[in-house]
Amino acid sequence: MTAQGKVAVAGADVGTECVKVVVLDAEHNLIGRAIVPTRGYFEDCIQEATAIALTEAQLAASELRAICATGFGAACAAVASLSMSETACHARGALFRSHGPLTVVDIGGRDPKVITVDAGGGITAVHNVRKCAVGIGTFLMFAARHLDVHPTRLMDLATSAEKPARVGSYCSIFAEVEVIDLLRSGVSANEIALGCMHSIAERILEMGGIAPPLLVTGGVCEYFPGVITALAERSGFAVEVAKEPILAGALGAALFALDSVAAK
Amino acid sequence: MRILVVGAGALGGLIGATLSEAGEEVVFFEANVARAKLLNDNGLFLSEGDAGERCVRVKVMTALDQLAPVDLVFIAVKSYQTTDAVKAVLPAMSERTWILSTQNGVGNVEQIAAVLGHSRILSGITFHSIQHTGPNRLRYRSGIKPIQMAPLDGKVTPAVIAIGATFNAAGLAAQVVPNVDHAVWRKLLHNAVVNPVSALTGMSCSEMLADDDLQVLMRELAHEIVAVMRARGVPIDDEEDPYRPIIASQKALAKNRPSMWQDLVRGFRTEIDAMNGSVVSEAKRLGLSAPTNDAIVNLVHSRERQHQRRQALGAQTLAAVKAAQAQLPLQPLPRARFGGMPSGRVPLECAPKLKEIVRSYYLDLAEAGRDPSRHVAWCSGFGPVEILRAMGWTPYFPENHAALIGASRLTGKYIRLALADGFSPFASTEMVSDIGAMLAGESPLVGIYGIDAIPRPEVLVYSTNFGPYVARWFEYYNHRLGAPLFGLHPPSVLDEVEKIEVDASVQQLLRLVDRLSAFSGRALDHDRLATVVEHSARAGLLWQRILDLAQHVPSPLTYFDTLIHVAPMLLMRGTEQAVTYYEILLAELEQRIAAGVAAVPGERLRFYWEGPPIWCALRPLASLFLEQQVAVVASTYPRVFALEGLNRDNPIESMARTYTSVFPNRSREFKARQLAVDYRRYGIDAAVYHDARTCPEHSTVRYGLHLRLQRDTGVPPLVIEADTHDLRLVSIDQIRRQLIEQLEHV
Repeated sequence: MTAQGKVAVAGADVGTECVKVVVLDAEHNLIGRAIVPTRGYFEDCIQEATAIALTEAQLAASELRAICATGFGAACAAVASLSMSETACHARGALFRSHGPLTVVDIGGRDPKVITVDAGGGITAVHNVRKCAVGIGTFLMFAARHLDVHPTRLMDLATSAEKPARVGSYCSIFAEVEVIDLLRSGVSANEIALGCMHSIAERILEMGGIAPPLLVTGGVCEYFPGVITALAERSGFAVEVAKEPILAGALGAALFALDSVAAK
Repeated sequence: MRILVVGAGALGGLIGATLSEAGEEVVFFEANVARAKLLNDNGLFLSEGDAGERCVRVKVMTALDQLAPVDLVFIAVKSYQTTDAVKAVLPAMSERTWILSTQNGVGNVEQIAAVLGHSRILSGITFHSIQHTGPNRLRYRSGIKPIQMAPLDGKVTPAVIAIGATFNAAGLAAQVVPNVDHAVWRKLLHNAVVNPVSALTGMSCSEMLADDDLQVLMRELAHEIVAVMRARGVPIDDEEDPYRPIIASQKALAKNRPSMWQDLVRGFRTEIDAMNGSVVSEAKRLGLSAPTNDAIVNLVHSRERQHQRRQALGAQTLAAVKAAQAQLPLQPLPRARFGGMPSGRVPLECAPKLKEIVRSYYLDLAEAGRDPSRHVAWCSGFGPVEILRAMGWTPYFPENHAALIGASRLTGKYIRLALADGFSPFASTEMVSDIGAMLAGESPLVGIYGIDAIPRPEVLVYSTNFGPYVARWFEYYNHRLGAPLFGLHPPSVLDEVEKIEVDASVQQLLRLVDRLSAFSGRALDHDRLATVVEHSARAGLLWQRILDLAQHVPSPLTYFDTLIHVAPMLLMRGTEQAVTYYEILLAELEQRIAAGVAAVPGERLRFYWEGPPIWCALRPLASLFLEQQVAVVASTYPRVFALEGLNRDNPIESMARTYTSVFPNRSREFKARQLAVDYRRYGIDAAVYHDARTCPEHSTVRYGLHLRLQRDTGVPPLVIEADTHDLRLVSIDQIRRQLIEQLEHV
């Protein structure tokens, strides 16, 4: 119970690149949010992000009725009262403003997912990426370092390329070596940046399960919308992006937290 | 003695050929025209036990109008064909002609007597064990007891004794006795108990012995037969327990199955009516009952009908496959430029000729797809294409298509489509590239040869001699295109190829021929098969000689040349054109040697390529080795096509041996030995071992062959990690660095 006498809950999406926390009231208003880069121990990052989100919501930690954790580091969220899978949270977050049937494509720091959702909002199929093609966001951060731009500038580089350089989609390490190889042979940084976006679109398409309408969530499309363009180009389908895509997982988690309060 | 043998099957073939060898005047009568032609042209090959083969020339007729009356007619058809056979040979019989039946079961002589009356009929029994090891090959073991023959009217005349003497003189132990009824029933007691039960359960004799429930059933069958025998006055061998001798014969037969099982499996009619069927009718005549035998007869008939239904279903499938859209319409590849094959070498003058004949092959294939009177089969690279050609099919080879897709460097798109369709990234990319292109409806054939479609298959035929994954590949087509699938699974991982393995492959080939004939309604033309096999044999030998020219320093050709020029060996094996092409290529290469032309100018070192080709990067690889003045002179893959041992005089068995003996089907020890020999013959300085990520079965480096060969031969290995079709797994830059490093210390 908050000071104003209202119910408030939090969702924490503990990713490999960023930890995202949102605070939600009973009327589904997003009253607090935080995104902090993941480094060091997950516990510290979760604490940091929760504190920021609570400040925005003007609440004390003790006032949260439930906290739901999800993501790669969910197990480290000792404060969480429950934990849900990334698949469930991203689908839930995506459906917050949309409705099924649709295909939710979660592209985050590590494991992309293709989630098929039916008209009733139920998950009917999940496709995962193969082990050696993981690390989507991490790969783009690597590319930014070698192309010598800030990660947020990678997109600007790609926008001015006429065609993508060929960057493979089989394995993230292979792709990283190819980026360096391309630089050595003098290929323009713009083309390489666009090639990286296409490499990711390829990995997503290889996972299977892609059928329109497509709705993308996750941090990658927040910072690198070129991936969305490449995905639309390669799949031939229109691709929509969730509002505040990076927070979709945390939002879904918070909705589950709210459910748990209602059930009590 | 003038003898007419009716039916040139196992028993007729053996008895007739043996009598003929002894100088008797023997003529065969055979209704199957193709079989008659095969035997007339090539003779019949006999081998006793494991002894060597001998060929007996025979005279086989398909009509008897011109034949003067004979002294003896020997009936050797299935019991259910007896009446028709006797009526057919009437023109060759006079009032002095005797007729002898040693067919299985009882009731045969009664059928003959119904046509001819009771005189001059000999009822007989044999104990030979005979097996077909090829369409015109028999292996036999002489019977444990002599052949017995008895005149039906019981009168042993000098003419009858003369017939017995003729058999004995030919080495066929025979006895003339007053009555064979007892012997026939005693043989029947064994056969009617063992044969149908083994045929229905598929079990060998030792397996049946170990099954208590089956023994109860078989004992019951035996008791019913023994009751009939007692009523006929036939003495029982073991009065105390009549079933005991049958246990002994099951022990003796051990792992064998009687031929009735094979009849059922192959969909032939069985002789159940002359065996258990006769028991039932004889029991009825004698006022007894034989319900268990009756049930067995019905069960065997039911299995026979089951096969007839399956054949009808096959005909329906064929009609459906043909009625479905006859072609797989195709788009050209998005980038029209087809240029993935290597260049930069001294080009061979033959190259345009090669293009021309491969084009003619594909144009003919497309024509076969449009012409409703022609037939298309899809075949694996080392499948039994000779049989397909001889049965009137035009073959298409998905493996060549996959190689062309690889060379087009567009595999990325196709692999992705196949992955999204559920294939793993670890699945053979040769397979998934081809399947992905099918999913995309695209083909390099459109751009290169201008054909607009790949004809749909009527049948899919593969052999796993080149690796097991081909079965999965063809299963996919079977699922997608609905055409029936016929697979050969020869024994694999062989060190020496023993006769027993060849025999196993022969049986599979014969079974394939049966199934293909049943399905298509077309018989195998043995003449045509001999011609096709001869063409394959000649092309294989020429290809071997072409590869051998690379022993010359400097080499007139490289591995990369052979990858292109091997195409006719794959696509056109068994045709005259392939032979002609290789004659031209051989001549050109010999001229090159005479003129001192090197395929790699300034040849510094000679490499061997072990492992599958990197189809998706042939051009950059060829350029890379050329730059470094390294001639890759030989490789395992093109070597496989140097087919040895094909023989027009013995097509089926030589195909079985040759296709079972191919390099990929051999043991690690064999591969090590052959590579060591090749390294010496070609003067190899270093060997590339391609570890193809999705082609483990052909990547010998996976089990350390490279280190073993380095120890045995001193040839240093260069292990390249790449793939046949997935560009994402191939780094030319990495290979270049490895090669340069290697060259620093070779």
